[in-house]
Amino acid sequence: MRSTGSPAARVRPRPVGGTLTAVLMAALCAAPAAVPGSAAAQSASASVGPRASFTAPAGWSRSSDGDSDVLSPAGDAGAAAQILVIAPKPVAGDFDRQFTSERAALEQFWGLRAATPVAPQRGQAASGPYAAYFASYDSDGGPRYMSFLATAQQQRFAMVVFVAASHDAFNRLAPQATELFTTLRMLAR
Amino acid sequence: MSWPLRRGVRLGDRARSLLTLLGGAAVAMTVLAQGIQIQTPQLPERRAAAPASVAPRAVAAAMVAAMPSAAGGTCRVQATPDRGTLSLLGPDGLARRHVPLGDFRSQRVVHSGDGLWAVVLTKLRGEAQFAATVLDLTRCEALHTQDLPRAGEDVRFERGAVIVQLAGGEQRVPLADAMVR
Repeated sequence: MRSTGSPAARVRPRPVGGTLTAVLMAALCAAPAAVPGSAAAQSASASVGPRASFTAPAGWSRSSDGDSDVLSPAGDAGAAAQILVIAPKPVAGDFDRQFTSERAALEQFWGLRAATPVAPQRGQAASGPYAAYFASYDSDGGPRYMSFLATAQQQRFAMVVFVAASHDAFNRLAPQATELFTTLRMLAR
Repeated sequence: MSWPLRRGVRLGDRARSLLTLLGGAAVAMTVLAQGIQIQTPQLPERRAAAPASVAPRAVAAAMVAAMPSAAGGTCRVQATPDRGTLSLLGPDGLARRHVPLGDFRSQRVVHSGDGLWAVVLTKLRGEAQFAATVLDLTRCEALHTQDLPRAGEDVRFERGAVIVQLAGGEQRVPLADAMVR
C-alpha cells in the first residue's frame, strides 16, 4: 500500500481550480433561510481568484472554494440559498453557446431536471455581452430555484449562480445575486 | 440582440446621446447600454414532479442514495463531468466534500453493495499510469490511493478489501486505511 506520492496526494483536499463543474453548493437544505436585513451592498469588494472582483451583498458570509466564492446569507446555518461566483475562464467562441454549454454542464452535474425557465435575458453592456437564465428544477434534494448569470469581458467568461431551496427564498434573495452580478468586473491580467 | 430592450432599462450617457440623435429609435440601445441590466423574475412555487417525468433517474438516484443511509453510510460518490474531481454527495444529493484528482481522471466509480465504500479507478492524463482510490462513505471522505500496474477494468468487494480486475490479473486493495483504523 502506498500512502504517499502523487496518486495518494490526490485524495487530500486542495483548492479546486477554475473548472465550473468542480464547484458545488454544499449543505443546501429546505430549511427556511435567514434573510439578510438589507440588500445594500457592502463597501468592500470581494475577489474571485486573481481576475475578477464583485461587490457582495450586505449580510452575506463568504467562503472560498478554490478560485470560486460561495456566499450564504449570514446566520443561516441551513443555507437555504447560496450564491456561487465561479472563477473566470477563457472565452470559448460564441458567448451564447458557451453560456448554454456551461449551464447545461452544471445542471447535469447537480442533477437538476425538468427545468421551467422564466424570462431569459440577454444584452450587451459596454463591458461585454451578458445573459441570464432563471428556472426552477426538480432534483434529488427537492425543488431548486436557480439563477444562471454570465458575462464575457476581456476575453474572460464568468458566471454567477444563485440557488434557493424554495420559491420564497428565491424571490426574496435572487435580486441580490443579480445585483452582485452587475458589479462583476474582470481584473487586468 | 436576442432579446429586445426591456422597459425600465437604464441607459448610459452615450446611449442617451445616440437615442436623441436617432429620434427615439430603440435600435442598438442595448449595445450601447453602459451597464448590465437584468430584471430578476419571480419564480412560482414548483408543483410536485409528475412521476413519469422523473421516474427513470429518480429511481436510480434513490437507489444509490438510499443504500448508504440504510447501512449507516452518509454519502455517495460522483465524478464531475470533466472527471477531474470527485464529489461526495449527501443523501440530499448535494455535495459535502470535493476530492480534486489533479492530473488524474476518473474512469469508473463503483459503490459497494452495502453502501459503505466506493472505489474510483483513475488514470493519469496522457500517461499509462493508473490508480484506485478508496472512499469511506460513512465518514464521507477519501481514504487512500493505491497505484495499479495496469488499467482497472472492474471491481468486486470482498470482506475488508476490493478486488480490482486488471487485464491479465487482479489486485487486492484494502478498504480500511491501516494508518487510521
